[in-house]
Amino acid sequence: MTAMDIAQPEPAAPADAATRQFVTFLVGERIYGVDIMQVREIRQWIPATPLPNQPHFTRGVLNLRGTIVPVHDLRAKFAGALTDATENHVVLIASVGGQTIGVLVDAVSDIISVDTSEIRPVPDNAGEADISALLGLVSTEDAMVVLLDLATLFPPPDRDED
Amino acid sequence: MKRVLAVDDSATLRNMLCDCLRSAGHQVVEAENGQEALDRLRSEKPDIVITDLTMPVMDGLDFIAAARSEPEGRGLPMLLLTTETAEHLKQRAREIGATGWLTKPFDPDTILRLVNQLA
Amino acid sequence: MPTDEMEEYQAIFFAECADLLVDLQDRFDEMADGAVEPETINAAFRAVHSIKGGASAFGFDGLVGFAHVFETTLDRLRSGTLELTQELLGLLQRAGDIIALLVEQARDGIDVPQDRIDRVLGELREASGIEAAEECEDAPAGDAPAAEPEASEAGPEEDAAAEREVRLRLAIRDGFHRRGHDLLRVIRGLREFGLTGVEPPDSFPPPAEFDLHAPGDTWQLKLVTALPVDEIAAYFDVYDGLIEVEIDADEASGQEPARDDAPPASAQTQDHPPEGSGADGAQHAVAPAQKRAAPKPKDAEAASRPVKRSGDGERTVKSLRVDISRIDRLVNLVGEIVITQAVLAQKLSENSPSGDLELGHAVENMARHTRELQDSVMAIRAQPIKSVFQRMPRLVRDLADTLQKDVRIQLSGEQTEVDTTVIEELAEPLTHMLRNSMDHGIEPTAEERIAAGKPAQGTIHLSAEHRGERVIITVADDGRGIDREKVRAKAIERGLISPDDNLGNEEIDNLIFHPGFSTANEISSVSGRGVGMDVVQKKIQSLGGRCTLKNQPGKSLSFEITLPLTLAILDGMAIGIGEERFILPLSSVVEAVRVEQAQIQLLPGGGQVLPLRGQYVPILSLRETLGLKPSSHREEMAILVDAESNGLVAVLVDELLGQRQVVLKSLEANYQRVEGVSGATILGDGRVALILDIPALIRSTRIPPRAAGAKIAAAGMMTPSPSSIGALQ
Repeated sequence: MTAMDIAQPEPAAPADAATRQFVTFLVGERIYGVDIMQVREIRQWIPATPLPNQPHFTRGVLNLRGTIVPVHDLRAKFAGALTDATENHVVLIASVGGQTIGVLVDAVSDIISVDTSEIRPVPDNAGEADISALLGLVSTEDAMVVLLDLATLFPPPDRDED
Repeated sequence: MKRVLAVDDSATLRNMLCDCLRSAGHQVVEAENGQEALDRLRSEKPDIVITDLTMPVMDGLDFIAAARSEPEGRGLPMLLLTTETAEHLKQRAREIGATGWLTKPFDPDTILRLVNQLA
Repeated sequence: MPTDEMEEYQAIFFAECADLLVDLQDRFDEMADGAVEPETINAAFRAVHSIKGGASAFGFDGLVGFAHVFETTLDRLRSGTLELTQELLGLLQRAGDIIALLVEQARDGIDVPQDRIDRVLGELREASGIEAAEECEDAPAGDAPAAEPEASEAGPEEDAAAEREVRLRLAIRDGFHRRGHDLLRVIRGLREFGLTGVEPPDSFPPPAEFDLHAPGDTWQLKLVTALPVDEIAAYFDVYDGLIEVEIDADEASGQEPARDDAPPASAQTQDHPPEGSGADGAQHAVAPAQKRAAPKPKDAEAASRPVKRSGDGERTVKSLRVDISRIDRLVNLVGEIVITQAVLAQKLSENSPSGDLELGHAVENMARHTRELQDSVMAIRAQPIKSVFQRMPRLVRDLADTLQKDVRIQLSGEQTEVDTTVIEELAEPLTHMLRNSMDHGIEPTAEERIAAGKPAQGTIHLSAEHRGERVIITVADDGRGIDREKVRAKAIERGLISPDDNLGNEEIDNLIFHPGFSTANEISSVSGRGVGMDVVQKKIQSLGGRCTLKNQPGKSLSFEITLPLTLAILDGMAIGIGEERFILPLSSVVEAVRVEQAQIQLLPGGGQVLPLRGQYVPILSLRETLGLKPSSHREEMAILVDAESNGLVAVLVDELLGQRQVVLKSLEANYQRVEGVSGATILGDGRVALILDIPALIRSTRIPPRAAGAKIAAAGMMTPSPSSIGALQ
């Protein structure tokens, strides 16, 4: 094998190594994506039980078949305004760092397969508050999808502090 | 298939012994001390007894001595399985009629061979 | 043996060790109380002995070696060679500590300093007069006792060597029968060695008088086998010299077919003994040739196969060891049933005509049974707090050694039963508290204590008791208490309070729970490394408990921990505020009263109080404290809650929904600890209700000690503080 070969894209690599699937969903006009491996299920919004003294984007907790799961409002996390949630809104149940969390979004739109080479870095001046939680950007036929890293966006508490 | 009475106050050793014997197709009756073993001896009529020496309530030597005076215990092979190695204890064991003396940790092969041979 | 099976046995062994160690400790405690009965010493001996026995099975040599010397010492005490003095008892207790450590070492691989082991070993040897040589001779490993048969090579094996006839002459010695042997069985066993002929003694008596066991008579047997003579001889090792054996192998006649004359001899002798020995007769229908084809090692293989233990009804079950995870599963399932039952009851009441009495009864019955089921399941998990208390004396002795302080620990209420979930979590905070008492509480020198009019020996009292649905654990020492001036100075130095702050005694004392107070503490080998009382308090709070202290400077200091009996279920009072439902722990609810807005009185500074039977009770509005939306509902009910160190507080709510038992669910499993909330539960309609921790809620809205006031005032909340409540009452 020569140095030239290494520089080539790997033609024989299995598809799953180079492509990732994302569940995409809408918040306002924007499309976000979360790695499908993190998503456990999608549920219709029901009012959560609010918790005292928590960040404003944490809407409260839900009963997910007997376990208590927090629900975070993605719109509130990014833009600051709470989602005026109705039964048309959905909660994405995701598994993050061993915990199960819910993320309130407007609607789930699709599942997309993305070639990892197509993921573009987020420009530093993109103006998003939580740039570290953005995995990258990817363009689909109709729009740009912002890929999220839920673990960074809603980090599990530091257990050592307890 | 033999019917073995396993006597030990330690559940660990009893379990190991039982598993060893049962896996070779023997039936095992358990007792936690000499007194209980004496009751089992009468009710269960085992073919052979394997007993620990140091136990609460009634120890292995007293148990064997007592068992020897029972109809069920006469002619019954009764082995001591113990960590003790003191010669005076062994001598005492012979005097009261213990069939043999085995030291822990036991070797499954030896136990099975003895059960086959002695019972 | 397969590894997993081995691990299983080890797990049983370690569980057993834990019991034995507790037992051992109990015996020493009894001895310390003056009970020097033979049975007490005997029981201690047996405990150590059992540990040794198990340890030797798993090859924990260090543990075996130590246990052996320990056991020998106890044996000499038992036999009266040694006398139980205070010094010896102290030594035995230290030896007990070491053996506990060695068990932990075997189990968890913790490091046990060899010099510590050696020191105690040396003391044990010295005390009991054991010579090192004697110990070696006596040691279990390596010694092959006379009666112990050689293990591996005794069984007949398939051999390429040629078969030949071997003649045996057996003579039984005195004691053969008395020791449980039976010649029939000896002969039967030889069938596996190719037995072809048995010839009874010449003086063979008629069957009626037949005595197989008359010593001296010689039996002659013939084998056809390829086994070497010494292997045949090994078969007789078991008999401990009770059979005299002569083996005559005609090596030259090896090729000769000796079988021709065998069958008649065999048939003849096999007919006789059964008649004579009566009861044994039924056992002999074994075909020798087939038996021989099955070599012994197969048995050994079979022995190591995991076999499902039969529930053959032979075991007397007094207690049962059950994997805790199985019980946890049961608890969780019962929890689900409780919730499902509540849902069912609610749905039925909504959907069925109220006149359906039968249905109503069925639902009631089910509710009752569900509750009983839950109680029963929880009772399985309850265990005496002893299992954690028991570890503390060792800790105290260790620390006493390290700190060179003379301290004893007194335990009481060890039988108090608490749920396993609580027990497991207790060791850590208790350890910290004891360290704290040992390090900071008890005076550094005996002189100082004597000067203060106290006995030279310090005492720490660890006790437990039930109080309602909670358990109270107290750690009290008779040391110097908290020096308030020092604490105050340190808090100022740390910037926790300002020099102008005028704090009450209780507030000063409570500063030791402040996270900033001890983390920067000078590192002490005992309680140092940033482990402060704040950690203890946090831990206890996370268990739904409370930690308070009583300080008598110069005299004593006691910590009181209040904990729920279980972390799994809770008797609660359901309340409503707007659309939300909450649960208050019933144990803290004193009473509920209806209030009119007009009754509520405002204090200068924004606080509110409720006049009640001549007292003014500070008000906590949950709607405000929890930041709930204002609604059209009126806060018409006041629940009087005992907020422990904060005294009585009137919690304003919209409605009272009644008492119910709820299954506690953790918020931490998928989220994090939320101040003022001890957990959550799922209501009959599937919604989540938070379980409120009123004292913690009060704390979370009060930031001690400065600046807090301003903040609270700005937030417009009434927050009682200990001092304000004190003033009101």
